[in-house]
Amino acid sequence: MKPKSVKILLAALLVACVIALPRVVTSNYWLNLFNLAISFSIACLGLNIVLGYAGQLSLAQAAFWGVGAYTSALLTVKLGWPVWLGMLAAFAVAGLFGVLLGIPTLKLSGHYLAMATIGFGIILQLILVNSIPLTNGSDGITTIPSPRIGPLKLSNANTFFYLAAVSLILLVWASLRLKKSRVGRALMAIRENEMAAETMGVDTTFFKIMAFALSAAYGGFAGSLFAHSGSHYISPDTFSFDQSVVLLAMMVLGGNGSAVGSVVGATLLTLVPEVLRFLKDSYMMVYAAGIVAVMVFMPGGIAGLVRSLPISQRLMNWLNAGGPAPSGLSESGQPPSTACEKAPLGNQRPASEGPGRNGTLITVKGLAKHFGGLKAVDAVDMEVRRGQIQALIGPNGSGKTTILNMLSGLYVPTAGEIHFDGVAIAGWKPHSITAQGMARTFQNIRLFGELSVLENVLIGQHSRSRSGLVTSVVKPSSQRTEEAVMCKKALEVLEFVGLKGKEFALAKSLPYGQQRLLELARSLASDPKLLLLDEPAAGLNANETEGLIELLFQVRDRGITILLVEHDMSLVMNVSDHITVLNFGKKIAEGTVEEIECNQEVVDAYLGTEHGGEECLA
Amino acid sequence: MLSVEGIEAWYGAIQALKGISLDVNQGEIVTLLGANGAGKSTTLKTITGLLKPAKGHIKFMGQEITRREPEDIAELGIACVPEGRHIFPGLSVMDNLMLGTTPWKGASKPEIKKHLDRVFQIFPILSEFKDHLGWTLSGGQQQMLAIGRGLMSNPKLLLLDEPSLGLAPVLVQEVFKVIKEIQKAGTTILLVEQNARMALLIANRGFVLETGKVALTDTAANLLNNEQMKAHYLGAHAHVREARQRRQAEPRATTA
Repeated sequence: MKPKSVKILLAALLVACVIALPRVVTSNYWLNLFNLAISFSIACLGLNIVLGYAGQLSLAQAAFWGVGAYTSALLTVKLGWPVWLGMLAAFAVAGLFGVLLGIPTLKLSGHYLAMATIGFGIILQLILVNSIPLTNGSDGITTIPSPRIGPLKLSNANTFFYLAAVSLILLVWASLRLKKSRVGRALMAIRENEMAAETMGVDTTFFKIMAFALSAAYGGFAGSLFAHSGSHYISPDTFSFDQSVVLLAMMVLGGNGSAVGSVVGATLLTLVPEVLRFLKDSYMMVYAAGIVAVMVFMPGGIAGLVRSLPISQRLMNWLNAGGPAPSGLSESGQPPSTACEKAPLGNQRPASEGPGRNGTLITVKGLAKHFGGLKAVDAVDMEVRRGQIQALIGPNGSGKTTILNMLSGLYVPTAGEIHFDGVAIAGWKPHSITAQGMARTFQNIRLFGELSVLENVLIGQHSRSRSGLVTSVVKPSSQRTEEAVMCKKALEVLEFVGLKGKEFALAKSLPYGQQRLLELARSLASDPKLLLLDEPAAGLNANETEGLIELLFQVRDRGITILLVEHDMSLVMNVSDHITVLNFGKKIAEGTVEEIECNQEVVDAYLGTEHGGEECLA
Repeated sequence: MLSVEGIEAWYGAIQALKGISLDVNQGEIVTLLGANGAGKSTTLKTITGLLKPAKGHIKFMGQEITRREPEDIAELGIACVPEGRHIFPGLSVMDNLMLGTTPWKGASKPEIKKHLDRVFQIFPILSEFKDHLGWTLSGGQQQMLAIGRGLMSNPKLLLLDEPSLGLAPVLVQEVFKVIKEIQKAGTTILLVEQNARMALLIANRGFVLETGKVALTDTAANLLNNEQMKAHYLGAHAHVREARQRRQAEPRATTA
């Protein structure tokens, strides 16, 4: 059987289950619980986007759930809007509130972000309680209408179930598609390493706000489903901080980052307490102890547990590979998804303008960076010529990495100008500079550890691709072509650096030397004109360094200019066309390898007797 | 002093060490060499107790330390300077150094002061920056801080994982001198290094690891002259230099 037919079969099975469920389970009580579970599931799907994908902890999901419930309830009860319009409005209004939450919290991360979202949730709940003319305050809103489709009124739990289930399936499907798209990868890159994501061209500000907005919109829609079903009554106390924590527990139990897991977690935590009610007084205690036990023994949640089973790994490999594959596709090195094979030929951009063009690529004038009283970089002038390999060397703490950080936009210079390919880029955001054609690697490797090698390189191409949120979900043919081209390019770059066959390994599982190569591949994928390398040979032995030297020459021969910071003189002295030397934040020398080797000031401050001077007298 | 016998260790389903045996005598510098992924750092992790070996035994001064907790092993007098520094970024340089004394139970204030002065003497920059927070130091300065912190516990055995990583050449020479001095002052050293030549110049003996096994062991002097070592680990500076000169003679002829 082919994977496609298996997928169709599974889908058919799912539809059959949905149709059959209200006929098998006839109790209104249970059907209402299922509807509630679906509402929670959708809210968790939203949380999964902001926390699971983008890694931003939000404890305000119940508040968005409330915003959606109230938006839809007020519009239908007070203004008499049709329910379906109210539900769409709930989606949109909650999304806007998500943007509102997203903007002020951009500067925050970790527990500070969590605190801010708690505050936001509490404020929303207080507004619901205290705006009595609008919301009826603590009394809540009653007799919220049921949705209707044509003449059919979905007032029973069993008819409403179909609407809820279809919405859930669509939203799960959208979440899954999102995850495997340019937008999803950008979100996960932010989760894995925000700084690296930004320097790979991801506008982290925009994508974080998008994640908050989407998450809130899912929450709002879930809230409107809640308002129009069950008791048809809502009041502010439902949308409390406690409820946000419960939603978080559901999502984490299901598995952080897994859309299907969110649904499973939400359903379990909605139904299990009901099943446990026979325990009378102690049922909540048993339930809570169960959650603790699950988190201790399955830190990856249910999805993590299922994924770790050998059979599910084989199944996933089989489905991805487009046919029966030997166990462990990642080791077999077989071409990955079918998408790559569909790439049109001859549609690749040239890496750059190619060698031969002369002139300066980057000019730096009076560049300075002061940290308080410390002048890390002080009035440095330098140039990098097109098509050359230039080295920046100097003692530890002399400001080399600080200069790379200013060039790539991670630091805003205190003073000075940077002209890159004729454009003044000082003070630009890193992602804009990447789009302009500069890429970099980091001294202490910053990969997206939990993503595959292939995904890391795909994120490298972020600034050279354009699929947005809608195309990521709808997947028109333009998007599929773009994905295929990106995929093919990624494989080509991986082969170039010598990582062929590792496409599906997790980045963090690679040995140190290969992680450095992957960082290089990820940078090359962005089609840079200028590549900044921060200690690329650190941690490599002599032979690995020789391999790197060959690779650097090949990169230069592709027309990419290189500026590198490195302490390994066997590399610097052998690849550099030109060397700039810093000490205490100031430029103390520049010139060819021979000139630098023989510069007494450089020998004293940096090279020592081992590397300097030996051939100077000749 | 330290004997490691037939250690096997796994990361999940991957076997990183396939029966490593080695020994370090009192007062020696022993160096562990090998390519990335050969198992050098993993061996150090089993000695410090951060990774529990599946098989094998580790003895330190006659005591079995296999599978004991890292803090107990540290108290016995084994200090580790890990790869990648792992300093405490939010604490001052001084606090980082003082935390190094944690395993040294019963140290008196004058003794600690003596060690601190010694660290400051070796790395004057740390004295100058003693009130700065760890993260504000440059990479190389953090490396010095990590070595200094290791010394503050007055260890009998010091494990160094790539101490020259990210240091300026002049400092690399300095650090190897310092390591030699530390040995002369009575501390035994097990050194993991990518800079094989420099490591062998100061070491007494060396072990070369390949894919989780000991491939070669000999005195440092013999290893420096071993043809296999020259070909695989010592690098051929001359070879690269020639390649460069060739390239300069025919600039980018291959790319047109």
